[in-house]
Amino acid sequence: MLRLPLPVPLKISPLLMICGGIVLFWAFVSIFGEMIVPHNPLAISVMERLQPPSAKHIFGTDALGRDVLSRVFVGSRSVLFISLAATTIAISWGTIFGLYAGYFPGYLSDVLLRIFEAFMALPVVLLSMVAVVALGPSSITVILVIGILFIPVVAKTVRAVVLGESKRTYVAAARLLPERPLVILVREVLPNISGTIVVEATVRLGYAIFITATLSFLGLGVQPPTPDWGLMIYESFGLVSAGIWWPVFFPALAIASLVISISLIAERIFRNER
Amino acid sequence: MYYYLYRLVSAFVTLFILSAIVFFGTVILPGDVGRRILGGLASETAVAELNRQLGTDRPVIEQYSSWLGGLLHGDLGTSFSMRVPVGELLAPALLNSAILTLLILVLLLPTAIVGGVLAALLRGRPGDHLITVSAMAATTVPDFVIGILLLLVFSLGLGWFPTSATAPAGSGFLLQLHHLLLPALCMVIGLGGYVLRMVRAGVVVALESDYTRTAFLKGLSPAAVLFRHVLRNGLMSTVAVISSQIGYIFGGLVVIEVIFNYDGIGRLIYVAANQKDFVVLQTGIIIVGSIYFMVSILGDIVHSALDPRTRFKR
Repeated sequence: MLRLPLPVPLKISPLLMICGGIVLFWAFVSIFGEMIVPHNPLAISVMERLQPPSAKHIFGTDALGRDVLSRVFVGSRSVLFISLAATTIAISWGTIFGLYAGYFPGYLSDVLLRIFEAFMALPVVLLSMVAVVALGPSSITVILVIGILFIPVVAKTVRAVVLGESKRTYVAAARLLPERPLVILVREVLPNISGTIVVEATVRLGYAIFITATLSFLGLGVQPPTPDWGLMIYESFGLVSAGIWWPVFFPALAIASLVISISLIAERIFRNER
Repeated sequence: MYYYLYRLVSAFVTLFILSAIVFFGTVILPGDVGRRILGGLASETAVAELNRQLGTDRPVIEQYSSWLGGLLHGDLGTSFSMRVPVGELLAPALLNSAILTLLILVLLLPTAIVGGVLAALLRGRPGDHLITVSAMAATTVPDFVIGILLLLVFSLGLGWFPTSATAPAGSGFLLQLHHLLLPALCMVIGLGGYVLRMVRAGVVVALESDYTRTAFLKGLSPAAVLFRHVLRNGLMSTVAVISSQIGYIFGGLVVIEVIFNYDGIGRLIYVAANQKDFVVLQTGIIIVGSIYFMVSILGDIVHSALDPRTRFKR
C-alpha cells in the first residue's frame, strides 16, 4: 500500500502562503525570464553605467550598464536549476545507499559509513572549493559537487529510518513470504519512508541554494556573463565601498527571500510529517 | 575510556581518507600541475622543469606518501605561489581566525541561550513562534548574504562600523574589537539561529519531564526549578551542538574573511584555491579537518563530564 508523502493536508497559515507565493514567483520568473523582463539581461550599455534605481531601471544598472532588475529575474534560473539538479542527485543516490546500509548492516556498510563521515567532516564550502579547483568552475561542476557532497547526509538520514523500519512486523512478514530483499526495500520499505525523503529533499534544496549562491559569490560557480545572483554580488562587490549598493543589494535580497521561503516550507512539512 | 580511544582511532582513519580525497582531488584529477601554473602558452621544457622542481613529475603514490610523511613529521611543505614555508602562512592565519571565532562564540552563546530558553518557556505562544521562525530564517540565509546586508546597512548606510575587519597596525584592543564586531555578527546571526533552536529543543524536553513536575510539586520556586533542574539538564546537549558546528564555522569564516578582508585561515585557503597553490590548499584543509576532530572529541569529553548518563550509553 503506497502511502502518500503528505497524509494530512498542510494547514495553510498566512506565513506559509507568503512563502509559497515567493517560491512560485521565482519559479515563474525563472521559466519565463527573458519574455517578461523590461531589458535584455546581457545588453551592455556604456552610456548607462552604474545608474541608481530610477523609473527606467527600477533596480538601477551595474558597472557595464546592464539592467539589474532583468538580471535578478533571469538570474533565478541558474540557482534554481543547479540546486534542483544537485538535490535530485543527492536524494536518489543517498536513498539507494541509505536503504542498503540500513537493511544490510555489516562490514561493507561500516566501510561506507566511514567514507561518508570523512566527507561530512569538512565544511561543504571548503570541499567544494577543492573540487572546483580540480574540475574547473562551471554549472556542471557545481551540480556534481553539491549533489555528491549531500549524498552522505541523505544516506545517513535514510539509513536511520530504514534501521527502524526493518524491525517492523511488515518487513518480517515480507521476509517470510519470502520476498527478495530488493522487492522488500523498493515495494515495502521505500513507500513507508517517503515522508522522511520528502522532508529531506526540501531541506537539502534549501542548503543546495545556500551553497550554490556561496560558490558563485566566491567566483567558483556559474561563470560570467550568465546572470546569477551570487555572481552578480561577486562582480559588483568592489563597488560597495564607493556607495554603489544597488547591484549588490537586490540579488542579496532575492537569495534571502528564496532560501527563507523554502526553509520555512520545509519546516512546516517536517512538523506535519511528525 | 575505550570509547575515546575508538573515537581517536576513527578520527585518524577518517583524516587519512580525507587526505587521500584532497590530494587526489587537487593534484591528480586536474592533471599536469606545472602546465596549470604556467598556463597554455608556456613551453614544454619550462613546464617539465617546474614539474621537476615541484616534484610533481614523480609517480603519484610517491608524491602522496612524501606529502603525507612530511605532514606527519611536522613539515607542511612550501607554498608554490608565495615561496614561503606553509607553516609561516598558516600560523598567523589560524591565530587571526581563532580570535574571530572566540569573539563569535562570546557573542553567540549568551544570545542563543537566552533566546532559546525564552522560546522554550513561551512554547506554543506567539512569542515562541516569533523567535523560532526568525531563528530558522537566520540559519538558512547564506553567510555572505548576511554579511553584505550588514555591511550595506551598518557600515555604508549608518557609518557605525569600518568596512574592513583588519584594524590598522598597532591599534588598541577596543579599536580591533570595533573592526571585528560586524564580521562576527554575521556568524552570530547565522549560527546563532541554529544553536538557539537546539537550546530550545533541549530545554523543552527538560521542561516537560517528570523531574521538573516533581520539582514544582514539591514546592520549589519557579526560579529554582528553572536554574537547578531545567537548565542543568536542558543545556547539556548545547555543548555537543556547539562542538559539532566547528566545521560550519570554518566554512563561514571563508566567506566572512573574504567580504571583510581579514587575513584568516578561510581567506588563506580561498586565495590558495584561486592561485592554484595546491600545497597551501591541501595542508590548510587537512589542518582544518584535524581541528574539527579535536574539537568534536573534546566536546564529547566535556559533555560526558557534565552529564554522567551519556557515559553509560557508550
